[in-house]
Amino acid sequence: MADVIETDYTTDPPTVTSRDYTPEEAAQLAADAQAAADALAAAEALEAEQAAARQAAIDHAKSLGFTDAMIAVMYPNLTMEA
Amino acid sequence: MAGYTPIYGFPYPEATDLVADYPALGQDLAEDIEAVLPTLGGLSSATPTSIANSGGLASLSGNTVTFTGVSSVSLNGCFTGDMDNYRVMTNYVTSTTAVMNLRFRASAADNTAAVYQIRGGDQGGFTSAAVSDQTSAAVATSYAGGNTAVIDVCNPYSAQYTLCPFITMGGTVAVVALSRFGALAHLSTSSFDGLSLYMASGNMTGTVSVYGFKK
Repeated sequence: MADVIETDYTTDPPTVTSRDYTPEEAAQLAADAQAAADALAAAEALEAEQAAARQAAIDHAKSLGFTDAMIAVMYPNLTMEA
Repeated sequence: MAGYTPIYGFPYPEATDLVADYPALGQDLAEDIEAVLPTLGGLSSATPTSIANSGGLASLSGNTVTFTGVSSVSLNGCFTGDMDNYRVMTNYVTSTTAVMNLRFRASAADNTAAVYQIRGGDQGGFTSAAVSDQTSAAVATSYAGGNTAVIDVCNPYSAQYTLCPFITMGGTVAVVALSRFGALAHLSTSSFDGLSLYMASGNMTGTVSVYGFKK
């Protein structure tokens, strides 16, 4: 099955052609896939880091005697423990 | 003797006109409207001369491309020297949550120069709202539930920077409506006659239409 289907609407009826990716397109696709994987990994790492920081903040606040309700009032953006 | 409207001078029959003259009057009116319509300002269709897709199916009707299960869809020949600025509107669903990217095109080929810049913000989704020197523009985080993107493409055809204010949104019942908004710039003076939309992963189904802002 061809990679790309091209339809030219300047002809009547439209001209449909199909072809495989050019070497340049194939290389770009591979680069795009790698970039997407890198971005996903970076986003997941950042989320994990932020989750750990949130949990550490909550743990520290509790060690000082604050309750969940107090923490929620003082730091409304701080995700509470499940 | 026909009467004429005060602004465009369209003919219309008056009480004293013979019914036998009505067909000629009707033809005059039709021809006048046909002549005036292309001169009116505002949004007008910008029809691609050709399209391309990878995976799935795509077809063109008027200025709207309908695509089903494609990983990418490309429009050629929709930006011309006739108009400076365009609006690209797309409504689509995706097979998985993933980023939809945009690239401009010339001579039926994507431009992958590392000069795509985005500044803006996100509500939910991705946190990296500002990115520079990319080979494409990540304009939307897209979902299986439904998505829409409104991208104004300014000066794509002329030898100026191509600048695009845009807003995109999407969501599912689980994540509600998430949006990305901001400014996309292709910092080159290249001339483009089209664009490609492609998924970072998975595929998409929907429509994309292009309108030009006629002066």
